[in-house]
Amino acid sequence: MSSSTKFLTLKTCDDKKFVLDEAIAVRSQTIKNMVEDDCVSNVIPLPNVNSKTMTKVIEYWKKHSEEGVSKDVLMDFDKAFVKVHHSILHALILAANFLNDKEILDMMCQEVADRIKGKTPEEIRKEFDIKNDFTPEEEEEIRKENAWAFE
Amino acid sequence: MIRSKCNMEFQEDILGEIISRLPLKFVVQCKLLSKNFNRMISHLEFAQILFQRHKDTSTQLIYSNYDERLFSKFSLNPITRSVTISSYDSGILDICNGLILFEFELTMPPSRCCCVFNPITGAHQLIPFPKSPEFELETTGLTVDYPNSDQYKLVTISKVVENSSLFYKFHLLSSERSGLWREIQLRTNTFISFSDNLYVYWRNSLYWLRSDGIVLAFDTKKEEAILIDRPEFIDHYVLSYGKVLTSRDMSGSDIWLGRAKDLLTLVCIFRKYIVIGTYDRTSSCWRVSHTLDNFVLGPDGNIIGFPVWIDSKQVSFLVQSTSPGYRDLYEYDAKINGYKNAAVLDKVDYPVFPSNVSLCP
Repeated sequence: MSSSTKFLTLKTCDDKKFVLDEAIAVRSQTIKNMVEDDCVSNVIPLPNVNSKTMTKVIEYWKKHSEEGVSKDVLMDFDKAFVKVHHSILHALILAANFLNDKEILDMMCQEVADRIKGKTPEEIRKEFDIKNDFTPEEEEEIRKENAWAFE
Repeated sequence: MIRSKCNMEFQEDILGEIISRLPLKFVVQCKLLSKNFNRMISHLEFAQILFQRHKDTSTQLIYSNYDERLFSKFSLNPITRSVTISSYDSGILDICNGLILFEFELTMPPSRCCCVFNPITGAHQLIPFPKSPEFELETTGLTVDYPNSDQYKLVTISKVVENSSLFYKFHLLSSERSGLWREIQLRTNTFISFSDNLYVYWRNSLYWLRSDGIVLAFDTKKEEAILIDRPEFIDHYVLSYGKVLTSRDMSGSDIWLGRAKDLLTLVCIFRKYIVIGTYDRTSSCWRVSHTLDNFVLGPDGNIIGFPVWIDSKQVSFLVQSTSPGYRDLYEYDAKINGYKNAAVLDKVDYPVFPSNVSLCP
């Protein structure tokens, strides 16, 4: 292993290029696997991630790779990081899922869970664009079976 | 692909990730979202994710105050206590993976009965004990494989007298064929009564500690029983450090069997030391894993504490506190390789059952 810094070039779906220290980029398990399997030639295409989202992801990676950052600072950073508009949150989850970064995925899923906690099924359906395919009778049946959860 | 909507569309696996992070009640409410969700949330695969996710935060200690018909529950994360009043004279026999096994007497017709109960969902099933004039019920065990499957099994061990010899006899009931006790064609050639200990469910087998230090194991899959030798280290310690102690206080035990960090574990209390041993399945013998200074002795030399088994942790202890009625919770701390006082709990009675929440139907 050489000790010199290696750089990777990531290309997002809107054709923007990001040059990044390999040691940071491998926070993505997907990229790490590519590097380990030696299938990184020059540019790594990220067909599912746009540049706006990638900028956020890299911001997170860099902060969490900095040396000598206290836990409190990171916690404040994370708190601010998840306070984004729905659309960005959504894009970040899809990106973290594609990049296979469990840390970001966990954090973002928790944020969505916190946001939908206490909402009615109808409100949640609207949020996630889920079609209700139950008949009123079927719905009543589920309510009855799980009465404890609907008290 | 252009998205103009302001809502979030996700694949099902990501939605599962999100929903599993909700409190259990809200998770179940999500069954109403659509047929797909109802299927996903009812699926055992999802139950496993949920179980893992809630394992650490949902650990509870449950115990009953017999004379007052009270059931108390301590949530450990954070520590809160709640009390439920029961309308029956019933005792907790065991708790396994979130299901509670109660025992009580029916008046009409007079018989002993047990009830498998899920405190989260309220689902319950009444099961009469196997009955026969020729044997006497010694002990009952409950095994729940949740979240790997939503079946449970009940095992009873009875004392049988035949030609003036004593035997164990086993009966098994599986929820797959509910209400039907099956006698297992299995007999041990000796009979020694069980210690006043709770039994342990570990890797498909139930383990009972006998009063002679031997452990009886019953494999619920293979339906076989084996005996595990009394740990050699007990005699070794007795010789070097004086007798094992007995307590007048709780269970009368000085040896406890339990499950900690997914290992079958024995806690033995000697005059000077507490010895923790773990069972090695491949060599079928007990090994000492920790020797600690005895911190559960009262001023008059009696044992004033008992172990509490929380599966994900090294065994903890509840010890009588200096303020009356209270108990100190001692937890293992790897940093000091010893125990320290982690919390003070109010009015806890032996036995205490650790429990996790379960959506097992």
